[in-house]
Amino acid sequence: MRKKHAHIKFILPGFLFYTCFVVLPIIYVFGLSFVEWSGMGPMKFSGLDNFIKVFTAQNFAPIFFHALGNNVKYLLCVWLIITPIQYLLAYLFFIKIPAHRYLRFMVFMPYVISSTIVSFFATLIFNPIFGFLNKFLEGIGLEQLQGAWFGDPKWAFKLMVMLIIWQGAGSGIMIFYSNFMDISRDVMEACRIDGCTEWQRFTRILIPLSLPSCASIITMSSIWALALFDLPFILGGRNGGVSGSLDFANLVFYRYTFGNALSGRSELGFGAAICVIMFIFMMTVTVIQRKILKKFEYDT
Amino acid sequence: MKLKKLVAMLCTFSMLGMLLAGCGGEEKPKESESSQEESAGGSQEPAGEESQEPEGGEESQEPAGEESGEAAAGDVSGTITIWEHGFSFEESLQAVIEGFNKQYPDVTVEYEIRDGDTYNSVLTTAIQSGDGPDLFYTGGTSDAVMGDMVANGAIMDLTDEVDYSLFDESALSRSIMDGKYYSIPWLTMDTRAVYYNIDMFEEHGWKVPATFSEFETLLATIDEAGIIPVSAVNSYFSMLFAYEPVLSGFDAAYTKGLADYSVKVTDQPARDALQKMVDWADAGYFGDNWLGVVDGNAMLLAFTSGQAAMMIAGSWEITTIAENNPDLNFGAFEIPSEDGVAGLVGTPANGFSVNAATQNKEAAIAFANYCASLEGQTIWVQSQGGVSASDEIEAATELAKQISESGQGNIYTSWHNVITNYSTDGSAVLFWEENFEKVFAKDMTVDEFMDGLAELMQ
Amino acid sequence: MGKERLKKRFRERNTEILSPSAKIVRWIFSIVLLLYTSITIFVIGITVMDSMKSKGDLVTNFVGLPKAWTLENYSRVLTEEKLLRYAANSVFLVVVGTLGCLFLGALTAYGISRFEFRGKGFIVAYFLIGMMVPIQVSVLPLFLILRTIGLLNNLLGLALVYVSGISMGCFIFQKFFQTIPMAMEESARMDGAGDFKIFFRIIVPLCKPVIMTVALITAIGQWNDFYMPMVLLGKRSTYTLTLIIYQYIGQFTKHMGESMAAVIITLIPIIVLYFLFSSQIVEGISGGAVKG
Repeated sequence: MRKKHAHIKFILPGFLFYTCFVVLPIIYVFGLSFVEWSGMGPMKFSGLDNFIKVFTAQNFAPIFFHALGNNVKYLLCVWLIITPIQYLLAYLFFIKIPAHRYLRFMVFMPYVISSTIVSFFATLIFNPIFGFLNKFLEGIGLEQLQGAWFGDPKWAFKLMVMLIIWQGAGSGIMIFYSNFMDISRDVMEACRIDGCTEWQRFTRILIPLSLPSCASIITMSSIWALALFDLPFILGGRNGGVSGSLDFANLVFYRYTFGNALSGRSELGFGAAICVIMFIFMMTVTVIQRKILKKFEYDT
Repeated sequence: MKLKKLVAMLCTFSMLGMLLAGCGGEEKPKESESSQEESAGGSQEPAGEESQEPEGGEESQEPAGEESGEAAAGDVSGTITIWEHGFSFEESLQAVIEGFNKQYPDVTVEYEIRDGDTYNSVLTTAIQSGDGPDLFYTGGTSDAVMGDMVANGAIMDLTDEVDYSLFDESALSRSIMDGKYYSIPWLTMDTRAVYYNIDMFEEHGWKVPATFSEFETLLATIDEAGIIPVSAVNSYFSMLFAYEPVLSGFDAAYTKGLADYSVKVTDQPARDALQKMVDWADAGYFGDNWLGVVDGNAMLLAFTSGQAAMMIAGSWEITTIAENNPDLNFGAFEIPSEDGVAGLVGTPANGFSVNAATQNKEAAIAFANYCASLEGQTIWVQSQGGVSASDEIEAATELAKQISESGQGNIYTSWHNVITNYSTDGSAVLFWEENFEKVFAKDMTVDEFMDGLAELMQ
Repeated sequence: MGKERLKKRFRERNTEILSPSAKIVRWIFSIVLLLYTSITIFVIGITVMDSMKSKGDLVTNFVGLPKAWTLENYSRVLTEEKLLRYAANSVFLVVVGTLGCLFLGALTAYGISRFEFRGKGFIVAYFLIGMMVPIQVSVLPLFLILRTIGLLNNLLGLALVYVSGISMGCFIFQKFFQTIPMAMEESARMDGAGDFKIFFRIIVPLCKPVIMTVALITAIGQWNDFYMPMVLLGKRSTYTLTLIIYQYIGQFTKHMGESMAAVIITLIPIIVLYFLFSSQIVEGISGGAVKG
């Protein structure tokens, strides 16, 4: 006989920890968005003022929307470039291309390297003055190809995406790979023996079977894309790089909350409002995404 | 439904509790969720007094020793905590603490360093919640933090507690609000200088310029020789450190006028000087791809590795350069004006303030006084390796002394300081922060920038 | 007859029979990837070389071989800093943080996915919120909370914060549990086993691959985090390895050689651990295929 509230004893411990350390801070921050406060002294209730300011303030709104635009741009990169690459690589490992063990090991390795060190490496290579790339180009006589790299608005974003692929692709690849492993082997073999080509097997069998489990990862990476902070912060500095090419919503939040970019003092309420807006944005994107992906999902 | 209701109630109460706690000094919320963790705090009484069980590594405050008015060295004991805002000050702080402990061996001094933008927020949060450090760094009157604290009674008035005889008016400019003293300056003169590669100069027969036009010609000459004249980095603060010396050399009289705001920050000389720098950037004097150098380290490395002949940077970089490449033979000079007048653009450095709610006032004041003493100041200035702002303290390095002397005794006010101090609503300096780089990236013209700035200035 | 033999050969050799063009395509991919991964080796190699150069050498000769190999950077880093202490701190933090997070995440996910109850949708969404709010946001309230329970400047406090970040783990475990048929539990329950027993004896061994994956991602995230320790751990004695690295790299030019040495010191153990565990992880993952 199953006890009626058996689930409670499983959920309760996690619930308590999670509520205390994750949810409470969030509620606190959301509450902050309705006040004007510098961190010290009385809090002044200001209703929706902060939110209105986000959308209309002269010295802020354009910057924020530009950064948000960068987030969307990056999200598209995740959907159209990064995820397909991860999927493809996972498939290559799955079908065991030559040296796949070594390649799998090496492709995943940068993931264990922290962002600080990754940016350190990026400086070693891409620094216009002493970085390896420019020196190399000079050395082989291709000086005209030398560039400012991260200082060049046209390049900065692309380079950052490449760096993220280098560092972060590993985890997605691994998850896709384990999803592939879950697919029944019999089906895969039977398909080949029945004479279909690799390509057919890939498109007709593998993709449809693995999409349901992959859908959840795609949702997660979308959320992570909108919360991007580490690499652009270290690579482009507080201000989000040259001409704001590396400016993202989370960076803006950081700058205006802890830095004092709005009015010379810490504006925690304003920063909190930014955060609330971002959250709503993320929820919207997630919901839309789930609806689209649900079409592919069917019960296993 | 019951579960949901319970959850909702708990959430609401906790939220209210958090908000109240954040407001400072009121009832601590009942953290029923955290009953699994040890609740080490009692309830909070106002004015920040609280008792805490000492945990591993946490700050513990024992009550101060005697309550006597004079803090005799033997009476002062207990623990004080200091917060600093950058790792580069750690060694100096340790040295000062060591010196302090020789006089007051019974005081345990602990310190915490929080590098980066979060320093101010975490500091105010800690103070607001009644758990702030006994001493802490603030930017003084350069930013709004100290002002906020004064307004909220969180910072101690040190006018009568500390012996300020060592400092003159200019050194104290960042510590005074409404005629009262709230912090203790450090007598490091944060000035800028043009560092140059002595060996390289000798090799090519270049001379240290004596007038502004000689400096300009020098730039062109070096560029023709295929070497980067000035190593620069595309960040607003670094460009500021180059801009201010250039401005002072471009028009010394104007720069002098900044001291009492008899000239505006956006007057023509300021515009012309900025335009000059933009022109130099276009001419390639900062290197062909300098916009990509976003990291101060790269600027320094270009200089120390011999790719650039000169570097305009702060006087605090002397030890960094020396440590980075001990083999480099380098010197420094100030950019002279057309008449050969040179000066140092200097800002006094600010140091620590005392928390009004400190638990150990005797020890905190004792430390503050030690910082303000000649001995404490000497330790700090020399371990920082920069230029000294006082005749009584010798700089630690030859080069720093040279920089002092080449200033010819002229001290100029920093252009940036004026922006901060004379803006209408405090946002002028933010406008500068967001847009200074745009001028060099050609997203904005010099005039557009200056006009925008002028609107926000008195 | 032909099909049976093919199947048998397939199983035995565990390879597929490929057409020549398919083989070429695969080789092309491999080569491209080999080139790509050589970047990693190159970068780490340069850092290793640079860490063994003396200061003056390093500045002028960034990319080449050292003129004179020296270990002075390493000795400076290891002796002047209490590096081992910080490493121990990091290890403690990550071990507690990951184990706790895993345990809580799996437990909670099991409770959610296995039972039907009112408000289930709400609970599922509730645990997802953690993923949608970036961590930088929660820093100040966390500071207040930890201070209230007296665990500021204390590794245990930060560990608790890490343990509570169960959003991702819970989500992944939920998805996984959905694929396990209920039948197994039913029979165990008929035999009279209690809920927890079922969970630990039957379910947990089944999800080894998922555990490995989630553990890896969580552990790495916690190991490399410098933001939380920077704000919540002020005292030097509680510093983690990442903070020290951050400090060195921040003063890169002043301590160039030491930065390189510090980076290598941090990287090598991780890479070695990764090397040791990667075979385990792969086995765990492919072990899951057997049941398919």
